[in-house]
Amino acid sequence: MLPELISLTGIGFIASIGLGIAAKRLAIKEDPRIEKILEALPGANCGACGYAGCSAFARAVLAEEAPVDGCLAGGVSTGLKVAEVLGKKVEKTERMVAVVACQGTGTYTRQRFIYQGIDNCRAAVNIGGGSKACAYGCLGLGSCQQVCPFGAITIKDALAVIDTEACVGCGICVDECPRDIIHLVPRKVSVQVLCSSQETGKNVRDFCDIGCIGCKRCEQACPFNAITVKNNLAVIDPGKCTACGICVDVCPQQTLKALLPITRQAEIDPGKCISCGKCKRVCPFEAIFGSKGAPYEILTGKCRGCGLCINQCEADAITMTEVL
Amino acid sequence: MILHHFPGGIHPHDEKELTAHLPIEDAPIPSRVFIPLSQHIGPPAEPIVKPGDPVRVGDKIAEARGFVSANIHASVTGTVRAIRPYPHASGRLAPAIEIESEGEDQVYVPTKDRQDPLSLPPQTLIPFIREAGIVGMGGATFPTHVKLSPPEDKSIHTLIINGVECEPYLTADHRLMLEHTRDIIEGIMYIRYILNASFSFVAIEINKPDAIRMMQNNISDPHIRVISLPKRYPQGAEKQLIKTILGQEVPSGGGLPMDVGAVVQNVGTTFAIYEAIRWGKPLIERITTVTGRGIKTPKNLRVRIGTPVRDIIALCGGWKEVPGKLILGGPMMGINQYDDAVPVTKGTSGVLLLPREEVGEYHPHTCVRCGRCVTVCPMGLLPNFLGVFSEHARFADAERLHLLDCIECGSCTYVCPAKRPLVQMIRYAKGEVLRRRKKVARQ
Repeated sequence: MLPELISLTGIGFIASIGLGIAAKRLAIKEDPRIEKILEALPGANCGACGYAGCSAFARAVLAEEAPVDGCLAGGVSTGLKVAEVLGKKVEKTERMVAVVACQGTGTYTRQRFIYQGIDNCRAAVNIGGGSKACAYGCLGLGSCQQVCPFGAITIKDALAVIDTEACVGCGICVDECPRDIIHLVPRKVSVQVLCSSQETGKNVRDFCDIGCIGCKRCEQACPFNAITVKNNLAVIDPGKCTACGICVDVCPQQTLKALLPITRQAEIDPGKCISCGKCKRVCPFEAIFGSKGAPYEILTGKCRGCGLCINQCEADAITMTEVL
Repeated sequence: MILHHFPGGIHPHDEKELTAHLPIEDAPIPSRVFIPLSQHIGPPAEPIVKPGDPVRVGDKIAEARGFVSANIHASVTGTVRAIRPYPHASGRLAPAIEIESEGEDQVYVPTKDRQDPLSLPPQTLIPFIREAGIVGMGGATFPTHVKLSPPEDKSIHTLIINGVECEPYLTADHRLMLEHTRDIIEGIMYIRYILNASFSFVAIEINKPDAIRMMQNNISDPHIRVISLPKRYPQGAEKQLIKTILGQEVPSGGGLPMDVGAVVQNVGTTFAIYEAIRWGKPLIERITTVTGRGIKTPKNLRVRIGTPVRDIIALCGGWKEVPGKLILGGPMMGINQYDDAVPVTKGTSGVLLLPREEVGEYHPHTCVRCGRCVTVCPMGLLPNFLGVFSEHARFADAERLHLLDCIECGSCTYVCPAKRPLVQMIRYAKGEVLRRRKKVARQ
């Protein structure tokens, strides 16, 4: 019993000394910052940055091959953390979100033929251009869903639906979509055209109940000239759009939708108001009430935060506030 | 002659009895033709006419763009009405030239009569073929002049004329061999002369004994041999044909028949080459088999390129039963269509109409690992793994298993008991591999 115990302990002791020396002498020196960068990264290994995973990205950042804010999944906050580790500065970038420019579910859009094959849009599109009657619409077989590392995409009734909360705007789905109908837009209140069809209105009506027919009502209704109809499809200029939602109301096809619920409201400072009434005249929503002689007031619930009144006010009495 | 053996292969019922005995009929001139600018492998042709222009049958209406491309000619006399996107056999819209034809009598009048083309230098014959816009008419539609101009360092010793027609249902090549035997043999002479090939073979599957006899009786040249091949799909595929006759394998990974000193030409192409060289006739019509149990009267038709399939179906009496599938080409490799407005192109070897009751509904499930697809793959690939890798987006692994060597013959899908759409998976994976390569090349 005893000799065995001694010999085993001895072997263990010698081996541990050997290992100890080896660990010291053969150690690969790794930059301690890699560990820190890895801590800052989300660790999803999604590959959206273009590298094989988070640790490959961390190495690339250290080697100055990748930008510090290259992690799309982590967004701005991660970029700031990584920059902090390296002592660099990062230009603040907007958080993006993916939008599917199609609402053609199985209920709204007709099928041309019965598709029997693999559930993959890129494969299906090679067979007669896909079974959906619209040559521009979502095929709904879930190629984007399969590649989304964050589970932000679901297929509901043959249409890809993006969860704006879960989406980090990495853009992997944008590359995957064979129809090129997924777009990255800044994650803020805005109106989106949820159709990609460039067919004439008559043809769209033949195969889809909810597509843009190019009727130009939105173009005429927009007080900011932010909408133009090009190739039978409404296009919104994000620089001009104030997300007032007038176009959403007039669209007969319900093609235009607000990306996030409208949360802005105008507020009139009664102390500054000179009671000129210009704001009331310009408001497209009848959200301002009052009469000359007293400060005007905003009707909460009616105001959509378009900002038209701000431009009209000579006394700088109107400000925009975020309502949650 | 000892024949070699390619691996795998299947034996579907050939269904050729529907049309094999029917002589080729001339289809009447359609009132309108829609001639796609892309009827060949390579960039689409560039139109050289504009709406309103009058054209005569045989006039060039679109010019080849680059070397690997083909000219396109008017197939009817009439007026160009539009150049616009039109349904294409690929299933998408593709630009096509619409010509409204006038009158009935529009026979092509030969512009040339070259009594003895073999007295001209061989290289001068290739421009005639190029000018006529000839492409491989077996279905692959590779521009023929490219195939006949091998690089200097490759010497061609063997010419194989492909009269195998292993696709079930199709009999266009069969009828052509019976009715234009001498013209085809003349065509073989021309091609052999261009390539300076020492051996020529005419390969015909054993299920066409009349065509074999006809060819044998008419060939007097001892250097042209007619060989009958056993019936096995895909015997008529280029690489399998070379393996059977020469016993040599075309190298994997983008190898071409010319790497083993062979060139394979379809009999339809050979006939077109004969017409182009002898009479200066461009490729404006082709023989196509209208068949299947869905059509009232199956026929072998000579149709003008650009004729809408709808017109052809009407000509053959229309659908006999509830429509199930409309396929351009054969049932194995043909392309399923959803719109009968699609026009016949240079590669349309058949119009197959299947009634509803013949079209099954499949619910694929997981691979049961029976290995039947491996047994039948004529390229010696592992379709089971390729399918799984494709499903799981492991394209690099698939590539390692020679994904790109797949000829998409459909044998694996034909035998799969789990009803897995293996060809579709492989085709998808191929597309992804090529897309990724392009992406890498861009970066």
